[in-house]
Order: sequence, then structure tokens, then C-alpha cells
Amino acid sequence: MTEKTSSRRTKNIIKLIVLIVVLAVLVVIPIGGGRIRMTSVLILVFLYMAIAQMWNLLAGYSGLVSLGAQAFVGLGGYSLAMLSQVYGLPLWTGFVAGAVISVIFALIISMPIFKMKGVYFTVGTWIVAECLLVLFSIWKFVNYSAGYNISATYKLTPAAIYYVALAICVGAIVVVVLLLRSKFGLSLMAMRDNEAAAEIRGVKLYRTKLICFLIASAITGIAGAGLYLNIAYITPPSAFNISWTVAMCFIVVIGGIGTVEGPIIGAIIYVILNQLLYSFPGFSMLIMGVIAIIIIILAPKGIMGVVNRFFNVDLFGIKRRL
Amino acid sequence: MRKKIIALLLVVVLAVGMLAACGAPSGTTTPPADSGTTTPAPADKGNAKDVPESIKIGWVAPLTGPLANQTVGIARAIELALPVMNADGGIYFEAYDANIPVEFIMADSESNPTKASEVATKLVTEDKVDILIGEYTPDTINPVSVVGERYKVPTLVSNGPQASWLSAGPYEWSFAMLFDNILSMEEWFLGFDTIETNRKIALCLDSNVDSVLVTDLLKDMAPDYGYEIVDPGRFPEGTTDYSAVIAQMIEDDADIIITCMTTPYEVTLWKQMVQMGYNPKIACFSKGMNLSGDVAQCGEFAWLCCDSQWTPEYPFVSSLLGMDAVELSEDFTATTGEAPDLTIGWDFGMLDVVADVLTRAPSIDKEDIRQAFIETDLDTIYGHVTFNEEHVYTTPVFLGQYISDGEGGFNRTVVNAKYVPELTESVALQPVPWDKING
Repeated sequence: MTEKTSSRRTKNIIKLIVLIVVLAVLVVIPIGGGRIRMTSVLILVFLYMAIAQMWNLLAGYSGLVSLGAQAFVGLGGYSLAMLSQVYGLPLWTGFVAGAVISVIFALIISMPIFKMKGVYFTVGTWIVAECLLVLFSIWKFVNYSAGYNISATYKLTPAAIYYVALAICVGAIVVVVLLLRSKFGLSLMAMRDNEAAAEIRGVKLYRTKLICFLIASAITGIAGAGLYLNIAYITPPSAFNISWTVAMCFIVVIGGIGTVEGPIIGAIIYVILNQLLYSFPGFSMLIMGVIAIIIIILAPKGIMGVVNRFFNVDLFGIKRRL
Repeated sequence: MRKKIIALLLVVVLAVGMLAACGAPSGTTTPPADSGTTTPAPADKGNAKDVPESIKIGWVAPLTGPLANQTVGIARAIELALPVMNADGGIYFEAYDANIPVEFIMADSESNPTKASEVATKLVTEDKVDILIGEYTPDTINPVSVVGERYKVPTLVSNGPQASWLSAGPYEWSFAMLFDNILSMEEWFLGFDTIETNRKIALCLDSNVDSVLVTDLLKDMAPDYGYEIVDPGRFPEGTTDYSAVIAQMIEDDADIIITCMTTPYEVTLWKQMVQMGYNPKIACFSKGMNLSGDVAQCGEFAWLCCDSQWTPEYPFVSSLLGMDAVELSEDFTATTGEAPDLTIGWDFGMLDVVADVLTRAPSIDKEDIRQAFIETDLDTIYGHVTFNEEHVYTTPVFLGQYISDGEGGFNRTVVNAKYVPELTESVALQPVPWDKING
């Protein structure tokens, strides 16, 4: 027993060292202005990783499959654009506002949305996001569909955006890991596996779902602000586009739903595939779709599902032992 | 077990793909081999170590998506330009005492700002382009300019409203050939004046960036020209049922309608106008009716008018190719099968400027190229180009109208050209012949 505990402790120390080394390498990458290509690709990887972690938190751990996550990307992006471009406030205020507005919006829509279950919840979230798209398109306050150039971001160096994206990504992963390692995480997984059984065992379904939804909304809002810090031009059709959620879904499905490692691998693959497929205008989505279908057929639990069959990877110590 | 092996192989393939993406040069579309892309080696006059292998120009445009019909001429434009640019082994640069061949790399923005930003970043960071070009609407040109500014790459954009682009200025690295909406509006009003109407203008405008700009300007300018604006309000982009708007316009009895949407929506609007019996004397369909083929979808007697930025009637000559507007138009029709449209002006105008800039820049150093852009003073197929302090060249604009030629086609006539003295106003604006449409 002591040997097992000691071995587990050693493994944990090794994992910690590996994570610190990876983080250190990531911090060093943009220093000196070199590796500009890698920097620009990693910005996208980090931001997609963050939003995919949040989608996975909802779909993979709480059983809340949402098709409306783009609402929070858009709210985050517009918070950044409005505060910096219209009101001339510092960029960081856009991130704070993005999180706050997303949480408030999530709180408001949770009342009707959480009365729906399964596919109705999925469709309901999609409709909410589409309503936001229409609202922003005809709302003079946000300049209709004309959107905004976020000119304060023009002078930001790629390295500065890189560190913001890295911070958002690491923050998202840390939040998910801490959440899942807590008692609350156990409730989430119990709820995902069998809602009725979880409720009988004392899990407060509505409260658990709501907290999870609010956390995911806040971080997706912050990541949305990060995405538009990079893009620097926002319009409702792009900000509230369902392609954001499609990307999250793709990343989580190919990486491995219900794992923290899945969205990490999925985001790397998604962004790099996208980069490669820019050479095939018009066919890129088709090719992505075919790849997703192949992976779903051959490895329904995603790449992490396959990897876990052989190595039982648990990089973040989420798995519980009976 | 077999499934596991296949899945693992798939993972390996993806991993290899990832490595390839990080290191391999882009495979983005380049012009056909016979067009000069397979460029000759640089003339070995200077030190080979210092001489760049090629000058790379990255061109971002909506090659797919709702605006794809307006980018059909780009491939042909490059096909014509490259052999000329690379005629002597490329463009001569004093700093290397050598001729450097030019290479174009195309990228698709899909009319999506997110995509435009990502592909422009890829062109700059991976393909290491020396000049970035962005074309067609704020959705593409604004994000491309951001990338140019952020990575300090000389950037030229065209075909979009100045107001939207300038709202993010001042620019240091980006230059623009854009139209001024105010001039367009003035041409509209002056054209409308030639027909007797009740001077009521109905706006059928969605919430797109162009529509928003047009709405604000029209409301400001209409009273000065003695017109009354009837505005049912903005509606979301992609709306396909205009019955409520049309009913409002019938009720308001407006003799003039103005819209500014993409082609499919303008065609739908026109058909619903005909069905509901709304018969305005003047139909100004901006933005979506740039090609005569677009107008043909509305029917033989859809004598629509719109602001136009280029015509084969321009007396300008391409500084790069030495071909005049008529010759380029004939070539366009021969190669694409389409009637000549204003995209010829945009595409070749930019190529004229870029070729001139490279010819004057002493090296392909970014600062040298930027300086050459600032000093541009050139007669092009799109008029005499100079960039003002805000880095903008205002493209000429006139009011044109499509009149059916009786053989199933349309002639785009110049009906008002106050700001283009080089153009002759061929005919006056004609009222829409509703008797023929309804009869």
C-alpha cells in the first residue's frame, strides 16, 4: 500500500515537472520576436483550446450539449470592441466586461433553457444565439451589422497577444481541472452518467448545471474577447456565427469528449488542419467533415479514447479510483 | 484490433500533417505554370547570398462564398500580369543589382473576417510575403489591413467604402483604393434629378456595413437635394421576405427605391416588388448589380441603375500591360465568358500600382516598399493614383444604368458622371419600363 502511494506520488511529481517544462517552453517561444509563424499558430491553438475546454465541460461532463456557445464568443468580442473602440477604455476592461456580461446573459437564459432537456436544450441554445445575431444586426447601439474595427489592437505585437491567449488557455484548463478534482466535479460526472441516480444521491441538478453553465459562459466570453483581440474587426455575422460552436464540437469530438486532454489535442489538430486546408479553398470544410466522420466511426471516443485504451493517460489527475 | 490499427495510423498521419504545417511552405493557389509563376532564377549580377529568390505577393479575396462571382477575374489578371512583370527575369532592384521574379499566392477569405484574418496571418508569417493585397468589402479588407499593420507588411486593399476602413486609421503600412460613398450619393441625386418624380426615396436596406453607411449619408444629404427619405428601418442580413417593407413603400408612394445588398437578395427583392405591384420610377440597386448577368436574373426590362466604379469606356491605360480599358474588357469576356464588369478596374488597378511600387523601390525591404507606396504618382487603368495623407486613393465613381440591348443582354450606360470628367454621359437616366414588365 505504501509502495503504491509512493509510486503514485512519484508519478504526480513527474507529471508536474512535465507540465512546468511544457509551460516554460511555451512562455519562451515568442521571446525575441522570432518563431513568428509558430507564435501566430499557437495564438489560435490556445484560444480554440480554451473555448473547446468550456464546451467539453458542458457537453462532456455535465451532459449539456450546446449549439449556442457562439453567443458568448460574440458577447466577449463585442465587449472588447465597444469598450475599447467606442468608449476608449483600456483593452483589459473588455475581458472583464466580456466575462460579466456573459455570466449575466447566461443567468437570464438559463431560466427557460434549463427547463429543456436533451435535444431540446441543444436546439434552444442555438435559437438563443441566433436571436442575438439578429438583435445585434438591427441594434443601432452596436452599429448594426457594420460592426467595429478594434483599432487599439492594431499596435499589439503578436507576442503580446500570444501571452494573453496563453493565459486564457492555461486559466481555462486550470479552472476545469480544479473543478473536476473537487466534490463539485464528482457531482458533474455523476449527473452526466445518470441524472436520476445522481439526484437520488443528493446532487442538486439545477444548481450544478447552472454553476457549470455560468463558469463556461464566463470563460468563453473571455476567450471571445481574446479571439477578437487577434482578429480586430467584429461584425454580428462573424461574432455570432455557428462556426465557432462547430469548431468546438469538432475539437472535442476528435480529441476525446469527457477528457481534459481531448480538447488540447483536438485544438492542435483543428488549427493545424485548418492551416493546411487553406490551400484548398472551398473544400476545407468538406475535408474537415470527412476527417471528423472517419474519426467518429473508427474512434468514437476520439483520439484520447484510443490512447487511453493502451496507456490510460490521466495527465491532470481527474480520474477517480474506487 | 484492425480498427485500432487504422485509428492509430490516422493519428500518425495527422501528427505528420501537423509537423508539415509547421514547417512546409504554403501550397496556396498560384497562377498556372505558363503564366510565369514558375519563375526564372534571378539574374546573377549581384551577390547571390543577398539576392532574394522571389518577391512574394499575397492576395486575399473572397474566392468562395456570396461574393465569389466578383473575383472571377483575378486569376486572369495575374495570368496577364506575371509574364510582363517577369519578362526580364523579374523586376530590377538597385540594392541587389539584379532582377527578382515575382510570385503571387492566392488565399480565400470566404467573405468571412475571421477567415480573412487567419489566411492573411498565414501569408505573412509562413509564406513571408513582401506585399499583402486584400480585395472586396470590409469583411476582407479590414482584417487584412490589421494584419499588415500588426506585422508591419506593406498592404494594398481595394473595393470597399472609405468610411469603414478609415474608422480604424491612421494607417502606417496599409494603403487603399476605395470609393467614397458621398460621391456615390451625389451621383445618385444628380441622376434622379433628370426624371420627374415625387422626390420620395424609399430605403430597402439591411443592416450590413454598406447599408448602414448608405442610410446615414442619405438621411444627411437628401434634404439638401430636395428629397424626402422613407425608411422602414434596418432588417437583418439574409432576409428573404421583403413583403412588409414593400407594403410600406407602396403605402408611402415612393417613386424611387434604393437598396444595397448582395446579388441574390436584390434579385429576390426585385421579384417580390414585381409580384406585389410596387412600381417605382427609379430603382437604384447598388452593390449587388455589378455584373450584367446579375441584372439579367431580374428580367429583360429591369432597367436598374447603380453607382459604378469602372467601365470599358474609361480612357485609361494599364501602366503595367499597356492595354486600354476596351482591350482588357474584350480579353475578360473572351476568357471568362462574362460581360466586362468593374472588377477589371479593381484587379488591374492594384496590379498597376504594385508593379510600379516594386519598380521604384530600391530593395524589397518593407520600409522601402512602404516609402514607394507613399510616393505613388501613376496613371493606371483606374485613373491617376496618388495616396493622400490617410493612405487613400479615391476611385472614380459614376451613375450607370443597365438598358436591355434587345438581344437578351444589357448595356451599362453612363447616365451621370460629374466626378469623372474623362467619361461622356451617353444617355439620360431612363424610368423603369413598368408597362413592359407588367404587360
